Amino acid sequence: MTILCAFVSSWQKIYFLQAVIGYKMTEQEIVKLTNQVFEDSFEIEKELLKEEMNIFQDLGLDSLDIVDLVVALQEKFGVKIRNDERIKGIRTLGDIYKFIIALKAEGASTAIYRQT
Amino acid sequence: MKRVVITGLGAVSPLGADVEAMIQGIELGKSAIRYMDGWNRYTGLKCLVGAPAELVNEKAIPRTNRRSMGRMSIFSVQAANQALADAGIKGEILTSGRLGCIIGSTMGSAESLNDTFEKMLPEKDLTKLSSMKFFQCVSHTAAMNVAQYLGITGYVMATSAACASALQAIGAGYDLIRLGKQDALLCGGAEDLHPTVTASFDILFATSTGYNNKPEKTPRPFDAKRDGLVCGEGSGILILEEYEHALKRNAKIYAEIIGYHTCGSGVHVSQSCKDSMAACFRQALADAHILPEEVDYINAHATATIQGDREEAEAIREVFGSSVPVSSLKGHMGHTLGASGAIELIASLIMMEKGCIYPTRNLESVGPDCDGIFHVMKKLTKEINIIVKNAFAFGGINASIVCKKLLDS
Repeated sequence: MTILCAFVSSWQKIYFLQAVIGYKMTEQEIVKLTNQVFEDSFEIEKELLKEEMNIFQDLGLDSLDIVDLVVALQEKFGVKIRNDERIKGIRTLGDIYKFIIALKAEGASTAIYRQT
Repeated sequence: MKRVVITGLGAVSPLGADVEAMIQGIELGKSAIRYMDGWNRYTGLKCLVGAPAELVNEKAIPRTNRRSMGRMSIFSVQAANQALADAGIKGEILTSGRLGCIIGSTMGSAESLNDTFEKMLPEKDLTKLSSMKFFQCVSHTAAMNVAQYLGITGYVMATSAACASALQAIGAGYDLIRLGKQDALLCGGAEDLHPTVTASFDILFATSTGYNNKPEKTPRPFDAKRDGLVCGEGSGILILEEYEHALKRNAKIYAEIIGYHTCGSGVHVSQSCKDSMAACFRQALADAHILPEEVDYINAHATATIQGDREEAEAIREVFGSSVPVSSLKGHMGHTLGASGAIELIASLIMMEKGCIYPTRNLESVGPDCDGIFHVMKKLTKEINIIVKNAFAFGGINASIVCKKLLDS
């Protein structure tokens, strides 16, 4: 373990150790990390990040932004969702929270630790 | 043929975020050359200095426009905004189809290209790529982004001839207006500074490598101790306008473009050729219907490479003799590559307006191989009616433009 930990970043260490002890990301953490994506990648003000917000009409994203949203969510949560059909049904921020929560519950995540 | 005048100027340069800052820097004899932290991580890179432009207030550009812009496109939008404001152009003309945009560069954003490859290549994984990288990396990124940002519906084009890109953009705009195809155009160039860009010259032994510990002493155009170019970045945009159109608007006219020529050397991809440079000068003067002795100032390309400066000095000597003042602005701002023709033409037009010629910074002792022309080594007060601006590029590309003060304006 010590040898392995020496080769990964501190964030990776935390997530790796969390995985080893059976840690599961809480829904609150999923909401927080998703909101971070909207703040960092799309410069949306924190106050607007409510689950009922339509990501197109209310938050101003367009089809090109969705490509970048997928890239950012994949990186944030260590998941592979590029070809997941459920993305097409996403309309609100709440839909994204639910989608990621479902993915985590399904154990669909391919990553043990977050890729930082 | 219609007449073409210049009615607006805008620049983001290594000396500052607008034309005023650039001129102030030149007037004070400032150097924008810096030691570039982190460049020593590149094995084999010998030139560790550059002339960066500062990214200022970029968030004033809405995110949906800015997302497709690398550094050079942001610089271009800012320069375009300045130029339009200077010209007093806004509103319907932008979307009339009669106003266009031609902005040249060596390539798309070097920083974005590098980011793209760094993300994609280690694991050959495309899924990490942003949808915006394409728009930041393409060769017409600056022209496209400026046109989209301003809603321009006329000609949108990008010239790509390395260091001659901006002059070719201005020349192409001049031709389009002369032919009556457009009433006005935003023309100029843009470029990113990045270690990979400097590396492309470094590999060819064209960069300055002996002044890493005293950056302000290089580049040294025409100087005996010159040892190569220093890359810079930024954007310069000029508003070209049909003469009658400008008169109707009662626009301020900086100068009339009276001649332009661009040509290939057909000799060598990297070595400058004095004969083809001289041929380019002669054709530009013929286009302008003037004699060499009528020229009051030559703003040289002069990047401070050993061979390029020598060839340019010889070509100038052959065509213009030793009585026309010559200076280069590379000593102040480095070589802004695809942007240089526009940025330096803008500075030259301000010199025309002020009636003075700024000297070549770092030219302390003229190289014997660059002698025989009138080097401006300290500020020269002089009435300037006609200027010639040169740009030469790898690939054997030459470009020269001739501008004349509009005495009847």
